[in-house]
Amino acid sequence: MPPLEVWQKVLVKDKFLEKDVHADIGCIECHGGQPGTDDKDAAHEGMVKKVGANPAATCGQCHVDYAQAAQTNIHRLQTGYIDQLHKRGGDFTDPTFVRAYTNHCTGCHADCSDCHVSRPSALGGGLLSGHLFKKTASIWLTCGGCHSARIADDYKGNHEGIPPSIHWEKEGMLCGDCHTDDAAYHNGSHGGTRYEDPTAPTCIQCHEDVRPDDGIAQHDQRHLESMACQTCHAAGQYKSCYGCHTGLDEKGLPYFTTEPSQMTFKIGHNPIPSERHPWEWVLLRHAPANQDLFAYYGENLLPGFDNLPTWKYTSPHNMRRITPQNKTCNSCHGQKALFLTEEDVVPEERAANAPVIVAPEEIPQPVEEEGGS
Amino acid sequence: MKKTALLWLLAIAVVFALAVLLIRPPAWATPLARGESQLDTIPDAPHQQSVVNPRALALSATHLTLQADTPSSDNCIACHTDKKKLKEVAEEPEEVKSEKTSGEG
Repeated sequence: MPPLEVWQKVLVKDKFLEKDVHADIGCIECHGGQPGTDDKDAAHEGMVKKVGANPAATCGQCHVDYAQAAQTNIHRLQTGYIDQLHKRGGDFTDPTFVRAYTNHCTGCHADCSDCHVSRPSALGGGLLSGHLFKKTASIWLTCGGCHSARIADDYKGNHEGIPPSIHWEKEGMLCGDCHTDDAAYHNGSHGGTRYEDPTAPTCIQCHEDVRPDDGIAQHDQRHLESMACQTCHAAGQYKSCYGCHTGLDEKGLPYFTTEPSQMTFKIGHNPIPSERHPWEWVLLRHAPANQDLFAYYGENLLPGFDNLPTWKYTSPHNMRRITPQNKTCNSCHGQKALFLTEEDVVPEERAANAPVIVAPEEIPQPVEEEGGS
Repeated sequence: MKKTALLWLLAIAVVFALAVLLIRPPAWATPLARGESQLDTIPDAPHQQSVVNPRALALSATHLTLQADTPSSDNCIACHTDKKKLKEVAEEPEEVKSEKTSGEG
């Protein structure tokens, strides 16, 4: 998605002024700034660009419920980041750790206006549509603007050689067609990561006819109970990231470096078994975190790094009925390359990944298939 | 004497009438200031999410515009709707991204 020209980012459409009830409030009521001058710098003195960052004082003046829910919203508070760093020993009472977190992690924070008025900063920012407030904006500009390489590109088939999700290709489904629960976007009171969200969508919400006697050979009780749907139905590789390091440059500006990403497909043991995710076998994706993530700021700021695997539970969005690994039984059985084995994991991360690594003897053995394949 | 008294009475009546017509209600009496309980809600909205009634919202916003002491936004609007002027004066904020940043975020 090409970034907007700088003037386009701040151009207010007549349609907003004429038809959007928010225009009646006036600019200064929300954004501050100085009236009575047409000098740019003087007019912008004291102006707040992102007023959605304080929902209680702005959006919440009318949208009371949403503003209250936003107090615990996962997109605003990044509870997933905090949960994972805390579990790796990150001390959010340590000013040094908080400084590192604030400099490098909070850029992914999204408040009300980031989804309903503006493009995310990852796309260069700017107004979505001339300051019109969108209840549901273009998913490629909002949801996909942030969840791009690891969700939207899977979904649309943007990775070379990997087909799109059938949900997109055949049905044209948008994010909200599955992620339907309005509360999920505005209330993150479950804490933790998105996988702890009790309202998160599941495949069987729509595919309720999937069961052991549904006529599909591989849908026997053993497979259905032990494998996440994506294990069989993700249509190919998805992106894994590696080696994120952070620091401040000579001007004091925060920077990060990452190693080149890789397209991977790895089946492993479930790192987060729960009632909602009871399967033994799931797909895993390498997260960019590493022991030295915050080494610039101090030594051993993640003393419990090995408490969590670096190969984490993932839900690729390139789902199709027939996939390379489910064409036949032996497309998966005996296919060592599909499984996360010790040799796939760098030595310094093997301790962290011990719970998800598949031992050679655990890889399902080839079976005799009908037709002799 | 009678004429003067009548004029005084007339003046008082005019002032009173003007006061009734022009003086705004106190801030605490406005719908927004009275809080969410005064806003119509739709309790049976999808997913049990109580949402603000759009009609009530529109009325409230109009009320706010009419009654709040908000400074005029005319200058803001004049500039931010003027493509030609924006092309002349709009500029990217000072670069806050380090040149040392590399790789996918």
